Amino acid sequence: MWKTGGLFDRFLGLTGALPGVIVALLAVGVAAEVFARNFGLSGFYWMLEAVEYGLLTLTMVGAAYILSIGRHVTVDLVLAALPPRVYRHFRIGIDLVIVAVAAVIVYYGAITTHLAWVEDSTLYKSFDIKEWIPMAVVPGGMALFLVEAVRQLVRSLGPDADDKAPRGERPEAF
Amino acid sequence: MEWYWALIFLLGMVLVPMFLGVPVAIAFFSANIVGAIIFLGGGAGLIQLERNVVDGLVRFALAPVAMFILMGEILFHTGVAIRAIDAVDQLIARVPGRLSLVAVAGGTVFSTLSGSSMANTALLGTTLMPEMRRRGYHNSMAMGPILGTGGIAMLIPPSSLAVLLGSLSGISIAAILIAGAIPGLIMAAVHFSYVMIRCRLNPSLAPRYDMPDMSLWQRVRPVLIYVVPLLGLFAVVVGSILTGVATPTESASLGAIGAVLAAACYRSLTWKGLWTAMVETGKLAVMIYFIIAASLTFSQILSFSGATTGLLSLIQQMDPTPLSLLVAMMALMLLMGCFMDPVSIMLITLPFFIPLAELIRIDLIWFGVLMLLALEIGQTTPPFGMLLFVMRGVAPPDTTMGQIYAAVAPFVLLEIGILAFLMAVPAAVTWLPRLMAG
Repeated sequence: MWKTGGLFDRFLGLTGALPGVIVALLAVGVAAEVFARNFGLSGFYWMLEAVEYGLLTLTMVGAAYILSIGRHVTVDLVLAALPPRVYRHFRIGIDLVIVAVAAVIVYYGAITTHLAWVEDSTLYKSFDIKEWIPMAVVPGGMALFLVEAVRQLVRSLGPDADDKAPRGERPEAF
Repeated sequence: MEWYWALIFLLGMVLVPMFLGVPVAIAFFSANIVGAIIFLGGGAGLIQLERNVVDGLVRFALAPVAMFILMGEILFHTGVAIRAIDAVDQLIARVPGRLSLVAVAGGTVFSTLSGSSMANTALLGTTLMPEMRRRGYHNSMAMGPILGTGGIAMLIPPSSLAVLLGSLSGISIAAILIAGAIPGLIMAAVHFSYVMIRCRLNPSLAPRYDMPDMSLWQRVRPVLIYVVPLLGLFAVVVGSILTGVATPTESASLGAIGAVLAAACYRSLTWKGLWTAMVETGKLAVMIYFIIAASLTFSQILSFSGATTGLLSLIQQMDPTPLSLLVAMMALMLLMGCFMDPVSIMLITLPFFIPLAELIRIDLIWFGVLMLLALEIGQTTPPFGMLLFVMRGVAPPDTTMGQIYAAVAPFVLLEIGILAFLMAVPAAVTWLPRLMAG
């Protein structure tokens, strides 16, 4: 069980590093496209679309890691003022909301992806990509998010969960 | 359901969980899920919500947000920005409040290279606070100028928040980026003057100290080496937009690559620095894009429920003057800024504010810059302005939040004064983008 948790942490660490790598690759790609175009070479006509799908991928892949290090933007106005015992109940309630929302998005994301797959619809852009592929990124990323949300809920329900220590940063992947 | 009940219900569905500590993106998602079930036809609405998440993120115009952050993070984590601040430090000689002026001037320079006010504040706080403390600077002259100047990065191009506002509101991104330059410089000039006057009237706020004797050339040389070439980077980013050579996304990518080249030229480029910059950029980008993904359906549901049109017709019936409506919108944003982060405020208010601005027929570029300034002020307003907590993180451990609030208060008042000035003189905002448009 602990080994599985450790593996998941390492995997999350990797997904935390990926968004930055994607942003850097997109920056290099777009800059190269600008140079190529302005120096009379044929630009990479597909770069615009690569950037668009890159933004979708980095957001969905990185969301679970950001949840694990407690960096999603939160207004902790009320939480900060609560005594530890009450805080614990609040924390459980918040974690339940996160789990429920993530579960709905994963479920309907899977349905939407399945519908696109059954329809076999294609997005005719530079890549002529099947519509279900970008659609699948949402339930895929949110499934990871759901697993992390459940882990946080379990932690909140545990015996050591009544302190108000913020959920700190985990070790980075590298 | 009557439009006003729909409005109260939907706003409540976002704001109540948000204030109870649910992450902002999840609060938006939960409101969207309930809203989709009630107003968008249940299952079909939830499928539409999923499609909106994809459509909302698959947008080329959103890319500069991450790339401008990357540019600033690279300069920060490779140490290039710190050298630039040190160079400004040597340039400003024996004047009252010297280090506070270095904070304002250095922060303004870094604002031209970074799209992130958090990076700007963290950089200034890390590099200047220890020295200010050692020299016996009063908190109001140590933390105040750093917090006041940190937010200028939201106005002076390249500003990631300006890009976000442009891409979500339909205002020209290039125009709003350029339009923020003059207000940003006005703000820097006002902060600079304020520090000089206060320190001249009360020298104990920033005690003078002996500096090693340096010739003019010795003071100017580091600026020529470490600041002027970096301003070339700013020229590339803004110039490529102004001349139409590149779109904002392309200019942002050129800026990020330029930052790497600059770090390499200064022999500061390390794998560790580059890696840290990339990872930190990734974290900030995911935080921002995830909220965007969650919030886009919200405006659609507001529209479907009749809440947006209902509110607009009510305001139309009240027949307010454009100025009173503008003042009310800015006041609301300043109030929200005391408790919320700028991205969330923007995403909650945009579905109402842009139609309202169109209703009273005001210049959207001017309105966008006023919004940015109000959001910028909100980052430093007690009790929960985001930059106040960045300062808490980089200030010495014995610093209390009360001291930070007191230090930033005069700068908040100055910035509200600048907001009033820009409302009275729209040309200060619109002149440059009009010049650009020819």
